[in-house]
Amino acid sequence: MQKRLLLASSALATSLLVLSSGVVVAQEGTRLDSFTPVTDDVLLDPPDGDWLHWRRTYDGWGYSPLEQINKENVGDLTVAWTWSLTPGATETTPLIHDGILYVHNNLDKVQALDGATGDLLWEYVRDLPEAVIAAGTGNTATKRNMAIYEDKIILSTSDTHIIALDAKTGQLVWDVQPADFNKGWRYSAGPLIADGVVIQGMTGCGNGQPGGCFITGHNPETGEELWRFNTIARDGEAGDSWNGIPVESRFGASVWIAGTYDPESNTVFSGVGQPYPWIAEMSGLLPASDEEGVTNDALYTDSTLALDPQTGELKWHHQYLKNDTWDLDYIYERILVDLPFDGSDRKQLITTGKLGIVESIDRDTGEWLWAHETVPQNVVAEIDPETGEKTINQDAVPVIGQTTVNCPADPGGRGWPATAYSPRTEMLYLPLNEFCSNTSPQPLDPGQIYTGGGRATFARVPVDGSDGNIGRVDAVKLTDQTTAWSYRQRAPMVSAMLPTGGGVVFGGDWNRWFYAFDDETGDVLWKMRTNNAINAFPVSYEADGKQYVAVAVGNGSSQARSVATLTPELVVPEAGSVLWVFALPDETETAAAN
Amino acid sequence: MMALPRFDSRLLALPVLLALLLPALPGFAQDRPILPDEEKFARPDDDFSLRFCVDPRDPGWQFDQAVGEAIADALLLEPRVHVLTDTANRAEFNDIYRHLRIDCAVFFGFKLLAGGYPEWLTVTRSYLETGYVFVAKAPAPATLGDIARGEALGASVGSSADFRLVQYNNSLPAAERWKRFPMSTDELALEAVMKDTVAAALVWAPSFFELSHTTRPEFADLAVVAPEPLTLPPVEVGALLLSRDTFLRANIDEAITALIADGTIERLLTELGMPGSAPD
Repeated sequence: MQKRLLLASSALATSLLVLSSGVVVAQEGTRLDSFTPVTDDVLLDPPDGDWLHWRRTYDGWGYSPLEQINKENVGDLTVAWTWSLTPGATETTPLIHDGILYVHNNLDKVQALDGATGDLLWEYVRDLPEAVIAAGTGNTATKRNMAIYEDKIILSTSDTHIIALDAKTGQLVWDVQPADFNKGWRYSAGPLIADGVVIQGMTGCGNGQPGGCFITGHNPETGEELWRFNTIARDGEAGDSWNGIPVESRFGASVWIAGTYDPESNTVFSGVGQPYPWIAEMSGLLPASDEEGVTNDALYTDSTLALDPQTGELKWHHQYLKNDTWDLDYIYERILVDLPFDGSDRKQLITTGKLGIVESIDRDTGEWLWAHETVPQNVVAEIDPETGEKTINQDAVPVIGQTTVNCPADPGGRGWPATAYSPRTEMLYLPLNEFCSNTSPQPLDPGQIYTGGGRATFARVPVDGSDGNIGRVDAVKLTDQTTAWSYRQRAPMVSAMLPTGGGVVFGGDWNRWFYAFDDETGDVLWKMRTNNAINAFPVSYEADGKQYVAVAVGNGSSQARSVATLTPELVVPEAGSVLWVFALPDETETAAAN
Repeated sequence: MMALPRFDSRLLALPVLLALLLPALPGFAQDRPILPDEEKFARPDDDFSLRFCVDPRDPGWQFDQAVGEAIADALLLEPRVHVLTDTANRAEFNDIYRHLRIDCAVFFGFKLLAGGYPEWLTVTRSYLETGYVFVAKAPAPATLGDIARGEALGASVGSSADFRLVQYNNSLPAAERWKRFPMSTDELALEAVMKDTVAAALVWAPSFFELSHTTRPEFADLAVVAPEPLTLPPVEVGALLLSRDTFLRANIDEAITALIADGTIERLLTELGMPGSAPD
């Protein structure tokens, strides 16, 4: 009652009431009043002006159909508003629904903002354990995405919980803890909602977690865990693919990127990371056992898993890289497209691992279809054009006591910044970087607890014969698997790509530039310098009939900092995480409408 | 080297020394960890104290603390120990950076591994020589070589001793190798011995000692196996400081040298039952 009285005051209605829980209570008379529940049907076919999934739609395209901002007028694009975020690694993807923008800040502060004005509507601040705060504000403290379902914002947290917030107030609705962060488990990506189930992958499954990682399914009303799928194959499952070592000696297979979903087949597709420790001699995957029936493929690392969202049952898997000893994950976004291949229409699932090799499989069967190389790499010597089986260059395999060269280096020819697909051009847009690593295996034990991120010393170096350009954006035509255009520059490209219905592709770099490329030619149509590295997922949305492009910037992710060691002259601030929101000036917008 | 009487080994009183630490060298290497809130961490005025960290997750932490106190005493400084309360079972160098910025100037208990540390860290000279041991069920084989080839060995994954095991084992013809099962911790490696999952485990000697005498007394029934034909050289243990703290490091090095020479380190090892010896 007291709150109601307070809010009845017009003077006070514009203020925010901060409770001891850290939640800023939502105001009345704001955009929140027009919030509509996000039903399964809405998730299946989001309004053009919304951004409801990590990659906007279930097919993972990362494409906005909005076309108010287009090739002709993007040169007029200007700053609509900005919003400072908590300092630290900032890899976030805003969600937008009904003109409300929800953004995750480093260390699990969640805010609802008016998408048109940037006004704060509510704020949730998580009361994290001291140990989590002390662990720093790097990759553990950032989350790449959140989910929205019905009237809830659902996210994973830095203390390894999954929580649901009331989308209209920011109040905590439920809170579950699938694992103990003290043992190294952690979340860096958020959940996917599929067929009414919250699906969340676990990461941080290094040598502190015998048996590796897992994916869990949860009830969206309560958070109750419905199922758990272990991403490291157990004894008797899929043969013995772990070189004869017992389950308690198998590590890794983290799931640190959200999956995609095919409602037609009711299948969730998730990537899986590499074995751990990365060096195969350390993980026990080399030398290969000569026992009959035993392989060192290390399932289900570096694979696509096809899972039933209701049960977590594995329908099939496809492994892209066996016995990954370079930290060259195949974890990233799965993009679902229906395009012809080899004379027939195929339901394709396309992903690109750190090797920068674009690969397509049939998403109903897991059958391998085709591959297309992008950045220079020396790990895969050959790909069987029929099966996709890879022949590994043995000279690139790390050996204890030696230094070997592998390209790309461990941050990847492409890292977690996502590729995107435009149905306008039938092209896949990839943020890429060209570099190699002089790799020397390194003991893990400088302190009894402190692994120091060891496993190997990766001395990152330019590609042999490099012209000095590290960053690159490629457009690959998926209908014929050719490179349509390639834009190269000195600064590493460290943001995800955003193609739009207006024919522009947005992306950003380490050197603080945010670009709009022509989706057909790669010409730079517009660019603006921001305050920090652009190392997140740009989105586009509509509020009050106006199209906006939003991207968070900030320094601190290991991916960006690692690749930036190649360009030491390009220095960015250590703090200064900000959400930048761009739009056309009103007069340009009016002209575009006419 | 001539041994110095303990009292005489006390070095200069160091308020001046510590004051010299305050104007840090300009800037850090670009690849040092990022602490977005580090502007909040003013470096404390050390006055006449030596602030040092020890970590109870390290089985040798009580010995480390005793050494830290002895060093402070030798430097005529008040020892101010910070006992970590961190709860994670694994930590990264970033955590060390935070502790060295906030809690202490010196962090004891780190193996002196070549190339093991980033440029923003520096190491003292060693104050302890200890190492890794193979452990098996009694009656244990006399040497590693007495364990049948094809049997499984457990090893705390990725230690410097594990590297030696891997290199030696992999140099043998396939039929003459042992299986090697990587284990996430010394405790799990020793458990694997108890369960007969492995014939022997390669673990950090202080861990074996500490577990046997505290939470896992059943491990006391296990026996150490000589590593031959493998060679396991001793591992030296020292302390970490930020690279800029060169003056303090030099004085700590001198203090350690003196404490070794006057027998203090050996005495502490004996008192605490720590496996190992004072370095030369």
